[in-house]
Amino acid sequence: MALPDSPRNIAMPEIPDPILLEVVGNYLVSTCEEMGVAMMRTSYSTMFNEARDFSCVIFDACGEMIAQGDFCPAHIGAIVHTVEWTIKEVGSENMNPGDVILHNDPYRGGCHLPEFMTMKPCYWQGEIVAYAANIAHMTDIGGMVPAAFGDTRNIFQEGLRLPPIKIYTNDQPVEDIFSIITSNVRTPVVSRGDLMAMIGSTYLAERRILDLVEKHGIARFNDLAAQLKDVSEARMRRAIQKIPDGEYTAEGYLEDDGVIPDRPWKIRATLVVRDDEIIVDYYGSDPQAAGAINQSFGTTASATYAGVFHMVDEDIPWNHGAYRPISIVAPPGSIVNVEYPGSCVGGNSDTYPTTVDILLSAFAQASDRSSAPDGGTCGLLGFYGHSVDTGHPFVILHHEGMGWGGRADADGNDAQIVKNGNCLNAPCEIWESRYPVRIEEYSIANGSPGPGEHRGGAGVQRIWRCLDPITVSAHLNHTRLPIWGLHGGQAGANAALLFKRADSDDWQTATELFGTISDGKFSNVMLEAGDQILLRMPGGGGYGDPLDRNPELVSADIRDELIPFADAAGVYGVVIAPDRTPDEAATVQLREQMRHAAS
Amino acid sequence: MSISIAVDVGGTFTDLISLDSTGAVSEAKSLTTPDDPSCGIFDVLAKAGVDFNAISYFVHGSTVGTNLLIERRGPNVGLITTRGFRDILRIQRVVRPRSFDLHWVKPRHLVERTMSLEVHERIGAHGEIVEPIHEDDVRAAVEQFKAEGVTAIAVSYMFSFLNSSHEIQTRDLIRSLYPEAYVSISSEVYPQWREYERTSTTVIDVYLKPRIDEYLTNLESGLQERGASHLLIMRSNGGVMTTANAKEQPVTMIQSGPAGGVIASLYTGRLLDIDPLMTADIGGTSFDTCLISDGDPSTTNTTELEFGMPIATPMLDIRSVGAGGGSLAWVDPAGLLKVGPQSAGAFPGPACYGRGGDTATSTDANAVLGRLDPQFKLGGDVEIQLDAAHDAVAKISADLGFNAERTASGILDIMNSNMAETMRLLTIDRGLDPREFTLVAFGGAGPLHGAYLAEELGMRRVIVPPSPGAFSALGALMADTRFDYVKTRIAYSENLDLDTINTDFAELEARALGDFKRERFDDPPDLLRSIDFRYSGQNWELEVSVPNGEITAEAIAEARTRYDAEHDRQFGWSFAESSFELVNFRVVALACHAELHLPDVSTGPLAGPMKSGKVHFAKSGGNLDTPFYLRSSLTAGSEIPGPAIIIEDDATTLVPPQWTAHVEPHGSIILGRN
Repeated sequence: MALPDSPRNIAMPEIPDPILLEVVGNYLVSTCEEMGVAMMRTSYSTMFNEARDFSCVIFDACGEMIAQGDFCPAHIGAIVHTVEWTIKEVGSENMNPGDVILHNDPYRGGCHLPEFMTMKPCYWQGEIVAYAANIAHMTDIGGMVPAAFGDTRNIFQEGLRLPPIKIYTNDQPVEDIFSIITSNVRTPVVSRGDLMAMIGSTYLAERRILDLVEKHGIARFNDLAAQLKDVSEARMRRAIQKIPDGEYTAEGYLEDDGVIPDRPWKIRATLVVRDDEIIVDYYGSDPQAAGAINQSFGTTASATYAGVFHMVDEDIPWNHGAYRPISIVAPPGSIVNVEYPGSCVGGNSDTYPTTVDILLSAFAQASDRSSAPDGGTCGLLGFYGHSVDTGHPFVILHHEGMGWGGRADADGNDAQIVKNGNCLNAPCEIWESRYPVRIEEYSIANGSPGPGEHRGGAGVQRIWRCLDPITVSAHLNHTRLPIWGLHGGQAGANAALLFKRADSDDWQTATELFGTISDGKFSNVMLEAGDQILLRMPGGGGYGDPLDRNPELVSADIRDELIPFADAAGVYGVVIAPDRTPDEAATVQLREQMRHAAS
Repeated sequence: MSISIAVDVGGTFTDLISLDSTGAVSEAKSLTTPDDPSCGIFDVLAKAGVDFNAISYFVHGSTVGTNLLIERRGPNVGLITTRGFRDILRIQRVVRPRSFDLHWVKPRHLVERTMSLEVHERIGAHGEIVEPIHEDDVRAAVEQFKAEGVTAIAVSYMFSFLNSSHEIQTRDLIRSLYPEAYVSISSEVYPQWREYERTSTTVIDVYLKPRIDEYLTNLESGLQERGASHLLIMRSNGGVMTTANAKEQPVTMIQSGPAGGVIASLYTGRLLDIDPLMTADIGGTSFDTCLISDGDPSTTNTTELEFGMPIATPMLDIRSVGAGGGSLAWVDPAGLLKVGPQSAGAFPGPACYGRGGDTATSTDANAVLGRLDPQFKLGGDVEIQLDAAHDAVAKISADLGFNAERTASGILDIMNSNMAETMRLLTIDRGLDPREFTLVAFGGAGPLHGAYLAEELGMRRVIVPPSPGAFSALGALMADTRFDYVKTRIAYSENLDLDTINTDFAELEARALGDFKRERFDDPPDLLRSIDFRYSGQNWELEVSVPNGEITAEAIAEARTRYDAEHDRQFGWSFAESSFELVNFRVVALACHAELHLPDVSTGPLAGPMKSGKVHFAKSGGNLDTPFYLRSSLTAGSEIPGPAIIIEDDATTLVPPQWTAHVEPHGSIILGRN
């Protein structure tokens, strides 16, 4: 882990007008954010209008990203490849003003099937000056599982796969394409509305981009685009130089693939830091799985960029320049680079956060600025049924908050979405207003934080009661195999997904009640009115030895009911006095004994 | 003769503007009394020699609410929720402010987990009672709150915006069991869906209640004792409301203080025909800034106490930072010079006020650089003591190893850059070019810093309005009376019931007229109607105005056409074939206040400066001979090249080298960069 003799001097590019560059850079980012607001406000699915599971970007005429709105990290790495692939496959010479292109193919630079991309080439005086694009999570895409997440075994079971095709030409919808899509999904009205929201936002972005080009002229616009990328690249290279050179390897597991019972799947990553560049090498990861947990290359790239961006303590504008110093080695046919027709819909939900946490565990060998793993699962549940009010079919994909891992400087945060998402949860009142359920409990899962000097955060626990028959599918991780702690910290509590029939007093797993292969990954189990579903999300892993935790914080957690009373002495070695404060002398003594017993 | 009074309570000064029926304007200033701000108000009223019996209109703006939130000086708060939902404030909406940041710490809301208590009760998604309320649970919760010293209680039940009966029952029970406690219920504070946003806003509302209630009650009774009544309060949305409204819903007054300055800036911009504007309101404690473009101040329906802690209430979009004339300068452990956010406030105030303060503030830095005239009394009675300013700055100089001028210039540079950062958030961060804006600089310290703030952002023009120190009070006097009414009832285009719509509007308008009458506003208000539209299946709406009188099918069809056009303009597409839904029916009752006409300044040749002195300008190489003018002596059309200092009772305007001051007929000074 030797420091290089002389780190390369990274020069900042020449910036003739720094204020203008910042104004234009932020104008482009604001335009991306405006696209997102338009999608949120005009769309039909809860996934769009509450969760905001989408990302919006602007690419320059060279096909490189110059701005992105800060919405959903899962798309941000993949979209670089999706847009690039689309431009190469379609060819800019085959595009025309008034075209919008649609694409969702994970084997063509996409991340997974539900992530639909729309892209609009923006023309100024007959030339393409930019591309406005977005990727958004379409809730239902046909296939065998409502909302796609379950125990699929190949791409055909996952849903409708679309190579780059034109969905708009001459500013008019290509109705044949809309018709194919709406005929193959369970919720045609919602899907069409969401597609319109996506396409509409690219038109909005085009207006903003053309205003800007008109104001500054095309030559200046192109110069500014180049400067934006160069500044980000230089800042990224300088940030990477702060990480000590070396090779850092870590590995971790996914508990199963929903097809083979209890067979854990390994991901191994080596972080190679060389001066101002990073190579992430996934050699040594398991071969492609039989179920949906595989990552497409787009997903692996996205997870890799997210991992590296987390290591960099700086707010760099995340455009193409910031990606240039990062290289990825992902063996084809492995769990991190699925080959056709392997299933990969879950790669972008639960494999991704585990991949990032493996990278951060590798980074922990080089830095004290890393974090223990978070709960590592989105907790995805798909609900499918018919609305009581309208009789229309509905599909909703649910995600839930879990605990963050502990960090060198703080405990993990409670109730947060996994690192690949930054989507809001759906309010309980929206759930109940739109779908035939009642939410009986929505709380912090007591006892879930992983113990540590800085403990993990707590997950969320929720109980639904079905008011009508509902079909449920699931894709979650860490129901049996725990996540890990860091530097002596311990794992957080596992996830749980349990069911209780209306006439029963017992909570049962899906394996017990429905005979599924996995507790966390299955499709289409049928619930009746009155049945209940309990989802408990994992806590984050602890950071550092729990015996080093400040006793005052332990007693505060007990007062807050976050950790069980028995853990104070049993795990943290803290003796709580009758007045509910720590007994200092007794604590010192107990901790001494526990350290002695452990050594 | 009747007089109108406006009083603005800032962190440091309490300002008064009075206007009599002849149109004569006068102002007064006294120090804010943070323990009970009503004392400062009576001080300033006494100082102005106001005849209480002659007061016909009294409006008041205040930063008391904001400061309570920023300093977290509120009471112990408890929350009562539906059973199963006690962790709603801890879960929040599961998102983070930045996608890639391992070190972010999620803010804790104002209620401890152990003080969130559950009650068996349940309203369903159609407003139906699923489970009746168990009053014993409420009783037990109240007992626990009493035992733990909780004095402010928020009640937020599921779907209470559809059926408020359980919340009302709970409030009544709390009142009978624990009359001293303050209570806010979510169905009154923010009767809209999304339980977290509603609960968060309700908790913040009740957090403000005890202090606001005590303060406004003292003010009201003090005024009544002196024979005056009819107190109105400036709201966050730029309108005014009654004290009863303010006590019921203090969350609507969190921007009450700075709102007046925005209204007055709007008026000044109109008078000078200058647009767009950015305001820079620098008082003793805080800096507030807002954008005005196309004649409208920017507004928002939600703000956040911290990331993820929403406050849902309509307000002017004003951003604040702790920077002002009283901001304290200090040296951090790494040896770096810092300014604020702590302020010397009114007591002890800057060292140069001679009230016992011995820590350097930005006002002391200005004094050391020769920019404040010691012979001139600030606000008429605070005397500037140069020695004290020098002593205070010298302490910092010693730590830094700089001379006094360099230290003082450094303090001001740092403060200016802190303020500029907030202005960047409003402009550059949104892709707006600040160079296209004109700055309006006011507040006691605004005119001293305006030109330098403009330079930070490349702006070329600064307006220093008349009475800059009392400008927010002036704005409060100009604010309209505005009440908002809304009825939520979803109507579907397939089977629109026009009779119901007309009945709903008639009810809203009857309420509006009744409220105006009850609050003893003489003239009936203007009534403005609107409807929130969405395409069937969407989740969010757009507001479209509709005409008064009977709503006909044609009126709806016409509004729908405008909705399509607005949808296309804002979002890039519209859906003319789609069915649609009408969600909210709104009425705004508006009584526009007669426009104020401030006296014009005299014309004629400019008299010479009253004196001249050495003022330090670091960027121009040091001490320059600088003329000092009295603002009252300036004549319309005169031009004063920098460097120059223009002094008046409540503020000092700095014209740096490379800038020129131009005096407008109605008295504004426009600073232009050469």
